[in-house]
Amino acid sequence: MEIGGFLNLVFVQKSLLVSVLVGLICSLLGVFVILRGLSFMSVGIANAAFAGVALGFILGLNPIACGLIISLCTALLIGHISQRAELKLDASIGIFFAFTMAIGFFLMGLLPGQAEELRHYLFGTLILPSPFEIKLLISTTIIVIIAILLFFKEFYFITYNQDLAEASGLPATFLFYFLLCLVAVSIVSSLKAVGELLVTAMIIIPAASACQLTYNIRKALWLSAIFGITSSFLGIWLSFYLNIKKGLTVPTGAVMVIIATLIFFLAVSLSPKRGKGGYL
Amino acid sequence: MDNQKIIELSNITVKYGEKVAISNINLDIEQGEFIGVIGPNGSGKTTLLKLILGLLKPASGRIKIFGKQGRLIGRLRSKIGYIPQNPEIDRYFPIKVIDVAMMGRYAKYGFFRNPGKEDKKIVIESLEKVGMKDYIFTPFGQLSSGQQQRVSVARVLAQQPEMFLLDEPTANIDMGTQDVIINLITEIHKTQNITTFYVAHEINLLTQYLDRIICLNQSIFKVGPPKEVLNEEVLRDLYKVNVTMFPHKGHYFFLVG
Ligand SMILES: Nc1ncnc2c1ncn2[C@@H]1O[C@H](COP(=O)(O)OP(=O)(O)O)[C@@H](O)[C@H]1O
Ligand SMILES: [Mg+2]
Repeated sequence: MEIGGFLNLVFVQKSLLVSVLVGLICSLLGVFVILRGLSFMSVGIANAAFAGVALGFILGLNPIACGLIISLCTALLIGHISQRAELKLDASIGIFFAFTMAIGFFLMGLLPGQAEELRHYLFGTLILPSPFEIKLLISTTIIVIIAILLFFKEFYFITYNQDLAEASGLPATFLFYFLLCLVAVSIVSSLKAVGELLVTAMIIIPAASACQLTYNIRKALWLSAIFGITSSFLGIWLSFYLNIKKGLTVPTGAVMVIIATLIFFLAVSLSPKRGKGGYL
Repeated sequence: MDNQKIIELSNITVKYGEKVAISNINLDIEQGEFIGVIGPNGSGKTTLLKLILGLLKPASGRIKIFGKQGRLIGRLRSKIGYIPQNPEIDRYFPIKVIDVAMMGRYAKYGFFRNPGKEDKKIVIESLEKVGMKDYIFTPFGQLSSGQQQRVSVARVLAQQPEMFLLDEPTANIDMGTQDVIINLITEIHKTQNITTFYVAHEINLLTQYLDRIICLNQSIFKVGPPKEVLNEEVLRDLYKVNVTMFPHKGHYFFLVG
């Protein structure tokens, strides 16, 4: 059998489709996330999403729906704290971040029977997402793309300088919360394919690679999407390959992030921002 | 039209939490006035501008602006061209000179509409006025601080506002560029009769153009035409240093010492 032979399997194709959508939404939002300095916040949101999923299992509710609610609440809360900036921001998120992670692990301990299933949300899995998760992912993809098309100039302005955007009369605070909510929904939608520990890496790394290569925001979005989709697609493909051909089970999130990071190093080495020649 | 009041502040106090930043401000500004604002660090200059812009709520007192009672909100703010004090920018942020200037046009439109050809024309004209037309596609972070400030001026020009609020636009830049920016602003003020607030420490460069100067020290310490207001004593009391006044080409210059 030739190397790519398993690509004919329907569930492999579905997984690859999932990977493309995950790579796309994470990397597009990632550009705004890293430019607005929300990387750390998105880690906090991912932790909360996992805690929400675990809570869902305990309460016997739909875990993803539970993760969605908890992560949205967390996004709004962290956003609120950052807008008030009473406590130094990284400290307050650091505390929150540890707290939500602790809650997630604690709840995991209460569910010995489902530890295996929960592990998937932690590390990412090849097991196909539930129909509900797939519907959520498709809706999220549509929402994210439409939001970026419609609010491109506003998102760009608030990532460049939120205070100035506010001073210019844009509803900057609202847009900021809206962006955080998009990030939260995207994280939950990607949770099973990537895992909460590394989903933020899929938000941050492709965008960071893209921003190494251009001073043009539109090009940055395109490049980030290309890098994100490449990483997630190859990540899933390689995981399947190792699984089907070699009988190995590697966490999908880890493979994706390794590929994304290799792309990042490539981007850095080619980056004109590191003092070599022109830029795109 | 000439004597129309564009801003009326009565008995305004602004606080950050418990901390009083400015208090007892009474001030009427007429359409088209060129106002200088001076005062030591922490005297409330930035707070005063943010109050006018509607970014801060007064703890007490009344504000009337553009003929309307109350704080400016939302898109009404796009009537004001605001240059904030030393905006920090990441040198690697993917933004070019033209993008920064274009942001002056963003608030003109609601959601779902992007700037078009006409906006681009206005933006390029504005960049030309500040002498930055050759840098249109240069990454903003690669400019010197003087050039960045010129682009900020182009941004507020492109906005075509009814009022300028300029918070130390000439701080931290060389004398030549200071002169260019001050000339540019005074020129626009003269030709378009735009009400202008200019916060600055460079009293000597500026006073000859001002209609009135506000000496701020939490409350308004003195306000009036520079020739009447500024003297050695006032500046000494305001800045707590000895100041000597020198006549020069029909104006007065102030030096510390
Ligand atoms: N965000 C803030 N929170 C608390 N205090 C502030 C804040 N901004 C300014 N202040 C205080 O208000 C006073 C006036 O500040 P500001 O208007 O920035 O003065 P200036 O622009 O004249 O230097 C200062 O004492 C300053 O410490
Ligand atoms: Mg100030």
